[in-house]
Amino acid sequence: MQEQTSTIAGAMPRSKATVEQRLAALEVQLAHITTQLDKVVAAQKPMVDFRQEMEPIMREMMDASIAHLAHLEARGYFDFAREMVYLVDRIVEDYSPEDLHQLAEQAANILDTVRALTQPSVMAVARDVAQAFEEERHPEPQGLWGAWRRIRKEKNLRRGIGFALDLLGRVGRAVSRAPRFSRAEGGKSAAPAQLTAPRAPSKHNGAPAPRSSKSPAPPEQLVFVADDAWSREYASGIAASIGMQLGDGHFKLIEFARDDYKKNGSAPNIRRITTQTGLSTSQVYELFPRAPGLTISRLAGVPKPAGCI
Amino acid sequence: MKKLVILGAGTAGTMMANKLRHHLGDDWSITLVDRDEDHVYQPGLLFLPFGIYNETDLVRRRRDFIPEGVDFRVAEIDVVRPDKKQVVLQRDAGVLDYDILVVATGTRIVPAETEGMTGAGWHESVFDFYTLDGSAKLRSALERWKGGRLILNIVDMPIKCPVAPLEFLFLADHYFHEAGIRDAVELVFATPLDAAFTKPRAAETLGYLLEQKQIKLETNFTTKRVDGAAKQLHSYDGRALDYDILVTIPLHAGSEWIKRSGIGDDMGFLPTDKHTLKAEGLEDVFALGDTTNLPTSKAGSVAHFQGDVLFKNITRHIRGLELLPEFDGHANCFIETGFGKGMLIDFNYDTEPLPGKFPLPGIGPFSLLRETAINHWGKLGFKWVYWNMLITGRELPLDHRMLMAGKVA
Ligand SMILES: Cc1cc2nc3c(=O)[nH]c(=O)nc-3n(C[C@H](O)[C@H](O)[C@H](O)COP(=O)(O)OP(=O)(O)OC[C@H]3O[C@@H](n4cnc5c(N)ncnc54)[C@H](O)[C@@H]3O)c2cc1C
Repeated sequence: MQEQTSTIAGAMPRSKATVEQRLAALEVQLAHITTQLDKVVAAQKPMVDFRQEMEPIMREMMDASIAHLAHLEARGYFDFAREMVYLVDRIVEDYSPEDLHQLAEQAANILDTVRALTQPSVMAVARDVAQAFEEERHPEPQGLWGAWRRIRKEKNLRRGIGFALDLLGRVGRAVSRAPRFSRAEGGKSAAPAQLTAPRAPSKHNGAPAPRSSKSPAPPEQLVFVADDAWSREYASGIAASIGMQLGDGHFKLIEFARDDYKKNGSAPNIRRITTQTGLSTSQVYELFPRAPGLTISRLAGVPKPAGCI
Repeated sequence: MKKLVILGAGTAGTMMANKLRHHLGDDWSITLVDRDEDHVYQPGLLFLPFGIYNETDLVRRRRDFIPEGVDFRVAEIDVVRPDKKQVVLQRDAGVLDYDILVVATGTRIVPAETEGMTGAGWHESVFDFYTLDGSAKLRSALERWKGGRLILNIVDMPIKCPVAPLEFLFLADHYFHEAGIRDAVELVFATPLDAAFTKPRAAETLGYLLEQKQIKLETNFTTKRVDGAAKQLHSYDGRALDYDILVTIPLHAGSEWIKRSGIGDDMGFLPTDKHTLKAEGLEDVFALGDTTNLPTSKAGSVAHFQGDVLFKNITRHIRGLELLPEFDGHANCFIETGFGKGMLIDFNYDTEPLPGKFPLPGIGPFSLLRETAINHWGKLGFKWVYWNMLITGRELPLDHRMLMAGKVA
């Protein structure tokens, strides 16, 4: 607007233009601005509408996604996925993209092999072999003589040897044809690429959290002691164990804390105790010289005054 | 014409004005009252002392967020007379009749309640950062500081945004580190509670933070007085701590008008039903935000979740339906931990902050009770959300109830 008015003024020197002329020019300008504004508003409208449309939809999408993902999480998908990430991580560390490329080239071959290997007859052999390992009594070690005797006696053994010899022949042929297998250039684990210059060890931060090292002892937690378990004697017993003797003055505060907790669902802190009982903070400290908030809660059998974390 | 009056045009009041104006027809007038014209983005006050935001980032005109059709009055509230259903404004600004009253006048710090706090050294070596003025003065002091001992003390709970003090210390550690004077600075946290992290899961997962950032801890420290001349902080159990800079979280109180009207508790907070948000013992009066006496955090996110419930309940109240006890104490707060990382906590009346992912189980993108860069971006992004969605009453794609989905109990 500012600029518009100044161009009007500039185009029509005050001295020459009549009031009517100036008004007419202003009208033209205004008409122009109005159409522009209409256009802007019109352009805005779909955006506004879109947002209005999207708000409830987004809420629904969010609710649905949350329900769905919670279900997946409950079934352990995410724990599983995290382990998969670890697995992939190991592969990525140990193999290079070329390895993967070779693998992909051979994918059809590999699948064929896997298929052949998993035919029922082959599987049956594999199962049999596996079972042999599981059996409790393994056969005695056998000398050359013993072996000879068994080969002569058992037809299956002879058939097996024939098969094994045939297999060895095939392996031999394959070995003489195949190039030497090698992993592409040492994989990756050799020396991790350094993206940044190593940082000077910093004294305070930047270093990873010493999580497992000595974390401070967890703060004491107090739980609500039900009415049938709590009594003045209960409180006196705990007091005695920390070297305190309770009198009426103490009980006034202890019982207030208990009532207040039952009413509001949170233990009163010192400020609430003082404002509600009329005692000054110094008087509260005379009665409970050490950590009165915590001590009163403990004696009253209610959770301690706490922050949000 | 029926009259709905909202007291306080901060986070909660502005949000309610938007929600209700878009919903209520022409047969309802809405009047919104605040004592001044400037809306301060309070979560930003944490960043101001470290030069991350400046004043102009944090202050906008209240009117820019108040919808058309809401009568905004700038006046100091004197008293409310529930028997006459009237709000009396100060300096002859008049009397407002109401059919429904929404109280959202927040909380204020009262440093003068602590002996010596506003005496010698106030805003020279003793600072608050819960006001724009205090926070800006603290920035100038930190800029010039060469090192020494900085104590942060919480005088007593409740306070706004109960994690802000810890966040301040974490950011301070980072700030002094960058300034190259961390070795010359001693950071001390003096709390009236028995630990920095009082809840078991938070203590277990976050206990390392203080040690890692070398912040010393004084627990069960009930502040008795500040000796500004000697630069000493005294507790009721006889401890005296020397400081060079004291950053204090002063006592918080509810509004004076609540006291004057005789409807509040001893700290000036308004007794409110924990679940329906109706003011206790007062007809047609509702409350949300920091002004209530509810045992949940005093935070903008809480005001937001309460807003969803209260909006529903006010519209039900108008239609003569009973109120729904839907508010569960839900709070959701980002916690800055310095060095470009942050954390997120999500909890309610009954459930302590637990680890996990938020809002999408397994995915996040935010991680609960864990330091990540994404959480930190979330905290920075909250400013946009605050101005553009939260106070304008837009729907956020979040349930107002706390969900266990995504949490590891
Ligand atoms: C340093 C800091 C960091 C924070 N960080 C976060 C955070 O990360 N996340 C989060 O969710 N929350 C945070 N909060 C808390 C959040 O800002 C508040 O919880 C939120 O603003 C409360 O909203 P409210 O509407 O209840 O009160 P307010 O927004 O404070 O509004 C109350 C309004 O009432 C007016 N008023 C009071 N008395 C009168 C009267 N007598 N007459 C006229 N007007 C009156 C005031 O002027 C004020 O505008 C933080 C707060 C601080 C101070």
